[in-house]
Amino acid sequence: MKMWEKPWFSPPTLSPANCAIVRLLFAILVFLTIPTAMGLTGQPHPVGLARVFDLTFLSQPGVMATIKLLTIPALILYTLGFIPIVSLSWMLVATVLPGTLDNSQGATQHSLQVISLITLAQLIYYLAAKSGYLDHPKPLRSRWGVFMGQQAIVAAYTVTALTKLGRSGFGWIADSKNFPIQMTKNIRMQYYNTLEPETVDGLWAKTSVWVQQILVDSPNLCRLLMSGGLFLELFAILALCGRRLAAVYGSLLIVFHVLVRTMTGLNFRYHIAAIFIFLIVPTILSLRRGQGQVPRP
Amino acid sequence: MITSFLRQLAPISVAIGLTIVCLAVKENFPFTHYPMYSNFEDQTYYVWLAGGDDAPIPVEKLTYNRLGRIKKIYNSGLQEVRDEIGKAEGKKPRKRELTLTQRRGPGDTTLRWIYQNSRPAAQQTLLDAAPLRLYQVDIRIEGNRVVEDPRKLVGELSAEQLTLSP
Repeated sequence: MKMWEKPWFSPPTLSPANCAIVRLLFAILVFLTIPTAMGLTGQPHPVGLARVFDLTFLSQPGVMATIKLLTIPALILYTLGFIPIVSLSWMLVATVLPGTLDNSQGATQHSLQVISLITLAQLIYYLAAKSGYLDHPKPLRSRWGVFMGQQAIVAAYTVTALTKLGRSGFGWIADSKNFPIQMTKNIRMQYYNTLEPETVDGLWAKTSVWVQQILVDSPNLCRLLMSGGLFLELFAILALCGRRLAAVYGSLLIVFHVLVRTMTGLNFRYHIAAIFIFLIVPTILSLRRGQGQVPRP
Repeated sequence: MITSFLRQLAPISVAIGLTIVCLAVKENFPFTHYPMYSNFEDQTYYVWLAGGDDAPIPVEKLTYNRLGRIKKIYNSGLQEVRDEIGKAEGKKPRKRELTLTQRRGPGDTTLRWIYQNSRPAAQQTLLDAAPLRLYQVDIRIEGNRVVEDPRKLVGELSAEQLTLSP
């Protein structure tokens, strides 16, 4: 088959039951990311919806707990595949509102956007399918829902790489020799956060200092490692080229995050969980007997 | 050939669309252009919180706010100062060129934010430790070692100032 005739990108070949497993895992992740309470009294640097609405009501006692409680039926419906437009809409509201207030303090956190983007991507798909814009038969929509989750993750990493190149060009690679000072910054802040001796004498701290000195001594090794991360992000689209590449790419991204955690102390647990759920689990499920024979749409 | 190429991309139109929207709208939750570590300068800094006796306060343990976030809030303030100077003088200074006096406003605002966004019990502890101080430490590479400059006092608020509305 010629290159142009064979589809480059297609949803994972999963049975409806296996798609439900993926949705169940994502529903659990969404539930874990919604806070039960917020203590933010203002929104001094409003972003997104906070530019229009005052979201500080979310910090009133009981509000977030109620929102989280109301999310449970939406997550059950989502997992079962019933009225996905309604369940995903509520999931989007329940993740976007607290995330927006949290990021309206003048300090942007980047751990939760990917969860909302996955939800949004799936909602867009189901709206398009429901409206008749897409002619996907109902039994195949679950697979496309999983594929939308994969696409949102890929978009997030592609954006990360393009922003680096947009701001610094490929000079980013040359300048990345300065990365070790970021490690020092994070090591020190870890200490001053808690003043616990573990943050100075513990395994993580000692490993960070050791890695940091190697990178200071060998700027080219530092550049090599950092450019590896950049190109991994830049070509994230490859994760959409079939189940094997999805699993390989997902594994590489998780290794990348673990390395970043070791070097900076920054924790990307929600990204790691989302990658595992949407890039690795579908491959594991489709490797089970018979799944590979499910026809592609 | 172009038609075939576009047809190939059709299944991932949501990924392409989200990428474009995130790059265009930048930091507007849930969209983000993920700017962290997008440029590596040869100098950076960290901040820490101290009480009136200059002893460090374990801010995360006490208030659940991490210094990473507190530094970003302080940094946003520095950015605003740069913008104001840029408007007034036609040229924005680099952050590292700001004087201690110019840093004081963002430093004080950050201290007030920490106080206002803490639980009542933590607020009392902060008041007891007042005056609260915010210190900045610059870091850079010299030769084959990382060098830290002496700390700079960039914010200081008494108990009375902490409880005042901004």
